[in-house]
Amino acid sequence: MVSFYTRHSLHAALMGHHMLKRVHFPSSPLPYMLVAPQLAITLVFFIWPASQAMYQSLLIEDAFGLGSEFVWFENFEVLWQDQHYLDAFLRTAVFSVLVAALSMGTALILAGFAQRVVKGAMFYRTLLIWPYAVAPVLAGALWVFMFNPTLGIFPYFLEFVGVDWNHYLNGNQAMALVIMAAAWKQVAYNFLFYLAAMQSIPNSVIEAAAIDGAGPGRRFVTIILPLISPTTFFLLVINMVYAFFETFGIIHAVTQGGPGSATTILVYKVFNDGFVGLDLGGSAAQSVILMVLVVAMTVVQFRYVERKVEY
Amino acid sequence: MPFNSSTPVMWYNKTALDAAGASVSKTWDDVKVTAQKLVDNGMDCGVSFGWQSWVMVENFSAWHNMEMGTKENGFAGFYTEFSFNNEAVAARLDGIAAMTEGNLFKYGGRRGDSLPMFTSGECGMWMNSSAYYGSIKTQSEVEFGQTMLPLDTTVADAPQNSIIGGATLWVLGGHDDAEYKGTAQFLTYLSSPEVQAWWHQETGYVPITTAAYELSKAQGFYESNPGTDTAIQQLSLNKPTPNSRGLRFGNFVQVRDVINEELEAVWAGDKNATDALNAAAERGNTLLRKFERAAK
Amino acid sequence: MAEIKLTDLTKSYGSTEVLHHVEGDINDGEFIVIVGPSGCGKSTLLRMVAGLETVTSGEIRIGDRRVNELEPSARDIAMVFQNYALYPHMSVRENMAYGLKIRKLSKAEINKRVEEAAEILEIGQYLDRKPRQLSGGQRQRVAMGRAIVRDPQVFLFDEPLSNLDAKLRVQMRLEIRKLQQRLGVTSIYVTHDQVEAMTLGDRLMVLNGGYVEQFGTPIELYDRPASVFVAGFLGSPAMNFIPAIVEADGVGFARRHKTGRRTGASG
Ligand SMILES: Nc1ncnc2c1ncn2[C@@H]1O[C@H](COP(=O)(O)OP(=O)(O)O)[C@@H](O)[C@H]1O
Ligand SMILES: [Mg+2]
Repeated sequence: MVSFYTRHSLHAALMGHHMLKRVHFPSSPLPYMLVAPQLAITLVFFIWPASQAMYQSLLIEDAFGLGSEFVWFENFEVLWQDQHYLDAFLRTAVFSVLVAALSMGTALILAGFAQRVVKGAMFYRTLLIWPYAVAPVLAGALWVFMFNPTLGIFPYFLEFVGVDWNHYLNGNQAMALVIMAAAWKQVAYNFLFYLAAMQSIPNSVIEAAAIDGAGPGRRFVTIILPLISPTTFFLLVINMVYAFFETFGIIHAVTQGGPGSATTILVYKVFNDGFVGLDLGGSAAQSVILMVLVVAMTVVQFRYVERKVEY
Repeated sequence: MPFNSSTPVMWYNKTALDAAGASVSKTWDDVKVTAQKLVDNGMDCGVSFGWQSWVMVENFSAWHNMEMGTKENGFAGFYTEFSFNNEAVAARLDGIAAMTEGNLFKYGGRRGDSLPMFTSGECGMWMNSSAYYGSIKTQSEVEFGQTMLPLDTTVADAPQNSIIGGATLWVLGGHDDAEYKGTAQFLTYLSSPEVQAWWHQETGYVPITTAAYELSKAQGFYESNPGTDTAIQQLSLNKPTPNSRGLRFGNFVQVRDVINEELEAVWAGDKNATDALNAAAERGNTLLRKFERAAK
Repeated sequence: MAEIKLTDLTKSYGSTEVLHHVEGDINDGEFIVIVGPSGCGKSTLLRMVAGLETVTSGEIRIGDRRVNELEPSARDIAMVFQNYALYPHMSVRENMAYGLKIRKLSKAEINKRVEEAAEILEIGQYLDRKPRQLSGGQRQRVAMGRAIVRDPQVFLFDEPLSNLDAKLRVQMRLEIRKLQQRLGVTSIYVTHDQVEAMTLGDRLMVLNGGYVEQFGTPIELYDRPASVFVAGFLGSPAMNFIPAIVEADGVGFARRHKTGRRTGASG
């Protein structure tokens, strides 16, 4: 059995976030000056829009922003009583978990194979990274085309195995389609991280397991998977956040939230109510709720990655 | 300035109709019979449509001179209530839903997504905007024609008129006179009979001036392309009533999404039309109330 | 327990041959040290025996089996790596039990073997720690423990002591030797340190540039080196060389000639 793998320092670059070091400066204005640009960017591009959204969520505004009324938490109360909104929560959870699982699972398998590729490795990896550069709406359009019930290539083949594909009518098929499209776009990103994580495992550990009698499958499950678990957890959060926030373009292009409301997830409602329906207050209230969710997820990530997943 | 205005018509696949020995449908009963003939003759589906809220609710109501909402469809002011959740509309939608059996009807998406079903010869009839003329002309693999929307004889004895849909050009304030002069020249150019006639003949949008219609007629366009004046005839079939003049509702984009959602539940067999329409009207009314508060 | 037979072994990476016609018979229970300068092919040879590298040509036999085509897991060997290669996410106990679980030994048997090995290596109190909570020397012992619980036919060591400090290295060297004698398992031990080689091995295989320079007991190698290389490589302090030529009438010093031929100088 030959085992040598190419290895490069990508890992170090990608895994930088695991290595937080604490350094103390003597008190001087220098450190504040050094973080000032970062703070300014955060203020202008994150804090300000976020507080703007929070403020807007307390208003009822007309479509052109001409008249507005301060209504305290009415927009939130309306959401709380809206069964369609509450349903969207569960749907979003299912969607996000499946997108994360599918894209991470695919990336994991690809990384497992890519690790063993020696000739043309760079070419292969570059190819795999391309989808990440595709805009969500374009990705959606691509998948719509491939799965068009009349013209698409996949429905044509699915017909042979007895599947009547029509995601315009069948909610589960529509959900499956947006999940595939959303997951596809994220595979490249996950792949990079998984590859780096796998390459950071010393060969000798894998070899020791081989000598101990573990075949490739068992090595993958009992050695590689546990050792890349910090990456898995990190990616899980990243992918959930992606699925929560960045998929409205795909959904808009593929299903517009239908059929029925089968693919209306929270962020699509924000987008649709805000940008299409121009219900600014309601949309802002929804985005504040999403914001709270992602902050919660990030907090969990930092706590957990820092403490528990270490070995 | 109104621009890109159109109205839904019924497109049909002439080749398929002839092959199935069917004639062009005038009523919904005809549509069903024809759809059956088409499917029996080996077609994948009889009829489909897009923009379902516009075609199957808004225009169905106007075509049969029924109100879609109170207060003259919103033209008489705020505090309107939707009233499209009536027996006539429900019966028609249930009828269509029943046609999914045996593929007499096949649903193909909210907007123009079902266009390929028609142009590729999968469905023999398709109801959607007259403005698909350009796309159909270039894509269609079959000989096609267009005719007026079918009449539901259980609702009315004769059609009223259909309503317009589309876009409008706006000129915004705050610019200087020279720019407005240029803008005016451009709009004059756009609405000149020659340009309008050309736009109308290429795209299927209706001409926005009588002069452009007259010019098209003089050019022999309607004679050499029979059916291309269907939209114009539908729109000017009768003097519009308060029910067929048009619609003015707030948050209407969202209301249409609600109607889309509820109708899809009907096509999928999850709901009957009455329940779906009631739900849509209720959700729509909530959106209307919200709009009124914001616009106050 | 088993003997190992290396016959005309060659290893190439692409068109570069890094091991050339290696021959050697290792007896049952013998402790063989492969020694040579860095890059001479020691690890490659060891890894070929382990099954971690393919054999380009020639044959490796362990016991009565040709193992060229066997997976590492099927060769009934255990290996101690230079960096120990412990499983970082498993406790010491789990590290040692890993191979036994795969071999589907009973829980009781696994526990018994692990406890025994821990006692021999004096790591009993660390059984529930993770490798990162251990010192270098302790990790080294765990790596040994993982090898001995398996009760294999052959032990393979690839510079197992070179990451330890000098004092610990001497201590561990003695312990490894004692352990090997007590267990009587055929062992191959790779090192670049000639002192380690001379004190540990029953016999030494001196490798240089992929060639076996000499294969014999430490005393044989020291007293009758087969080449200048062997002579220069072994012994501390290093041997002195005086270029000379063997002539019909005796030994003439090389000063008369510009180029000295390769000769065996006896000491
Ligand atoms: N995977 C490999 N590909 C190409 N050459 C290798 C590979 N592994 C080792 N070599 C070469 O083989 C020779 C022997 O290496 P090695 O056995 O590791 O030496 P050492 O005696 O120091 O253990 C070296 O010249 C090394 O460069
Ligand atoms: Mg080595």
